Amino acid sequence: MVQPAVELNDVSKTYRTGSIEVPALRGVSLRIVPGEFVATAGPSGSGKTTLLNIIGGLDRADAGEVWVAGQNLQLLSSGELARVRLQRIGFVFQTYNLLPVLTALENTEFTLLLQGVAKHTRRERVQKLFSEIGLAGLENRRPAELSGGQQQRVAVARAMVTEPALILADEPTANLDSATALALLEVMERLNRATGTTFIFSTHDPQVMERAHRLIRLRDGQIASDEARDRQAPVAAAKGGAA
Amino acid sequence: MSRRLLQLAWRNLWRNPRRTLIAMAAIALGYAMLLFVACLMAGLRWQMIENGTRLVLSEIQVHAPGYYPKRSIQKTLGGQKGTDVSALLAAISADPQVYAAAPRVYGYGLVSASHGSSAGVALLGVVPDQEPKITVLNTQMVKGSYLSTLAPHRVVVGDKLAGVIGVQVGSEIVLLTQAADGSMGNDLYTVGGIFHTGLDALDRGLVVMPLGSLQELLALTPGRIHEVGIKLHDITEATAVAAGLGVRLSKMLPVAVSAWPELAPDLAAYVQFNRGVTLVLFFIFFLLAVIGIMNTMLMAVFERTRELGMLMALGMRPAQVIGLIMAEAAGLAAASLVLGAALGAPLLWYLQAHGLDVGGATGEVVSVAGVVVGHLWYGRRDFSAYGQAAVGLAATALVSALYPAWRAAHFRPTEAIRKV
Repeated sequence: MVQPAVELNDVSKTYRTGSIEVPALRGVSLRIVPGEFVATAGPSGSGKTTLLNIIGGLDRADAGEVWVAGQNLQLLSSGELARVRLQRIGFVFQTYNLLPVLTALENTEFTLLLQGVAKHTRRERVQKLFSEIGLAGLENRRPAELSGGQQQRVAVARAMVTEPALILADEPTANLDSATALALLEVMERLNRATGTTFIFSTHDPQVMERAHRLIRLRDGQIASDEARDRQAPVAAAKGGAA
Repeated sequence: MSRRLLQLAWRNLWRNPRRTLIAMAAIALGYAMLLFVACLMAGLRWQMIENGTRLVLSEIQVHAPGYYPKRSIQKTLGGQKGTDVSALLAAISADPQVYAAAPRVYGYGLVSASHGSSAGVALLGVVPDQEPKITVLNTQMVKGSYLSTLAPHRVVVGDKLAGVIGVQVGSEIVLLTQAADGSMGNDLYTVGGIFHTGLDALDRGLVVMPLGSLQELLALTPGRIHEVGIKLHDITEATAVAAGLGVRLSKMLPVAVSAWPELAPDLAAYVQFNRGVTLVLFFIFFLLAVIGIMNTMLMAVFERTRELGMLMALGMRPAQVIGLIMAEAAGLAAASLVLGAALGAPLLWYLQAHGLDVGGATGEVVSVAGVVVGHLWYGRRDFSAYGQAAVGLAATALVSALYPAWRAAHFRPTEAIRKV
C-alpha cells in the first residue's frame, strides 16, 4: 500500500479568544495519496485555512494525528517543523507574499538558499522552472514590476523550486481575474502531472473547483463531502511517499 | 550568514530610505561628535602633559635614592664624592628612546634686592646650553635673555617675583642659602632675564641660574648634582623607559628613576579624569543611540510582520530571522560609521590644524590642575578612542536590535501572515 502524502486522523482545532471558543476543525480524518491534485472548498469559517495550516505544520492540532510524508507533525518541535516545511512542503499564499526588495529570480531561489543549495544549482533550477511556467525574461524584475498573475506564478515557482513532496496553496487565485486564475491553475496542474507533486489548495471559486481531481467540501469544521473528479490522473511517478 | 541574506538585510534597510537616512544621520552625527570630543580631549591631555613636563619638570627624572620628594641638598647622585656626571649622562643618552638629558641642581634660599625687599625662592641650577633641549623655559622670556655659560653670575627670575622684590633686567640681587656643608652660602648676581610661564609657583618663586654657580653657592663639588632631567622621543613611553633606565643605571650607581606621572601626580590624575570624562560622554551617547536604533528596528520589524511570518512559514528558522534583523542593524551601524567618519574627518583636521579658542574675547591663559593649557585647545589624533567609539557604537547597534529581533523570531507564522 502506498504511503499517503497526507493523513489526518480525527483532528480537532479550537481557537480561543478570552472565554470565547471557536471550533475550527472537528474530528477531521482524511487521506491524500502522493500526486493528488486536491481542492478544499467551503464557506468562510468552514476550516479550509486551518486545515492547510495544520497540514503545513504552521499550526498545531489540539487533538488527533497529522501525518505528512511519513512524519507525525504533532510530535515535532518548532525547529523540526520549520525543517519539514523547508524540505518537504511548498507554500503559495493568497496575497503572493513575495519579498519586495528581491527580484523574481531571487525570490524564487530564496527557499533553496535557506536549504543551502549552491548558487549555480539554484540558478539552473530557477531558470528551468521559469521557462516551464512562462516567466522566462522576467527574472530581474521586482514584484512591483510584475502583474498579479506573474507574481503568483513566481510564488508557485518559489514553492516548486525545492521539489517538495507537497504544495499547499491557500486560495491562490483569490486575487486574480478568472482568465489569469485559470492560467495559473493550468500551470499548477501541469507541474502536478509532470513532477507528481501533491497539490492541496483551498478555493471559493467554482471554476477552480472544476479543475481539481478531488474536491473536499468543508462545513463547520467537518468534511461535508469528499469526491473524486473525472480528471486525468498524474502521469509522472508520484513522490513524497517516503520521508 | 550567507551573502544573499546579507544582501537581503541591506536592501531591507533601504525600503524606507527616509527613515533609514534619518536614523543614519543621527548616528553619524553622534559618531562625528564622539570623534570630535575624543580628538579634543586627547589634544587637551597632550597639551597638559607637554606643558606640565616641558616648562621645568621634564618627562623623566633621575635622582639619588631618597632625594625625591624631600629634595635634601646633601642627597646627590653619587653621594658625597659625587660621580662622573658625563658618564651618567652618556649612559642615559645611549638609550635610543631618549631625545636629550641634562643635569640639574636644586636649592632653597632667600633673594634680596639692593633696596631691601626679599622673598623665599626655589633655586634651580641648569646647564644653559643643555637644559633647552629638555625644557622650554628659555622660550618664555619676556625681558632680557636666558642664561649663558659665559655669564655665570647672571640669573633669570619670574615676572611676579621681579615685581615683588622690585627688580629689573640688570638689577643686582643677593641669594642667601644654607649650603650642603652646613655653612651659609651667599653671593651677588645680576638679573639677566625675566620669564613668564603663567604658573604662579614658577613666576613667583623660582630663580634659575647656571649649574656651576648654584653648586658653588651650595658648596657642592662639580661632580655632585641632584637630578638628571630627560626628554624622550615619545612621551607616552615615559613610564616604560623610566623602568628600563632604572634597571640599567642601577648597575652604575644607586639611582631612583621616576616618570612624569609619579613626579606630577595631580597631572596624572587629571589625565585619568580626562579619559574618564571621554568614556562617560561615549556612554551617554551610546545610551541615546540605543533608543534611536531600537526604535528604527522595531518599526522595521513591525511593518514587516507579515513578511517575516511568511519567511518563517517557508522554513526560515528563528535564529535566521534574528540573524537577518541583526544584520540590518549592523548594516545601519556600519553605514552610519562610514558617514560619521566622513563628516568627522574635516572637523578633526580643523581641530588639529587651528584649534578651538576657549579663551574667547579675553584671550586669558587657561590653567587646569596647575598646568598652563593656553586658550587655544588643539586636537590630537587618538585612534584608540576612535576605535572604542566605533566598536561601542557597533555593539550598541547590535544590542539595540536584540529585542526587535527576538520579537520577530517569536512571531507565529499563521498570525503574522494575516497581518495587513
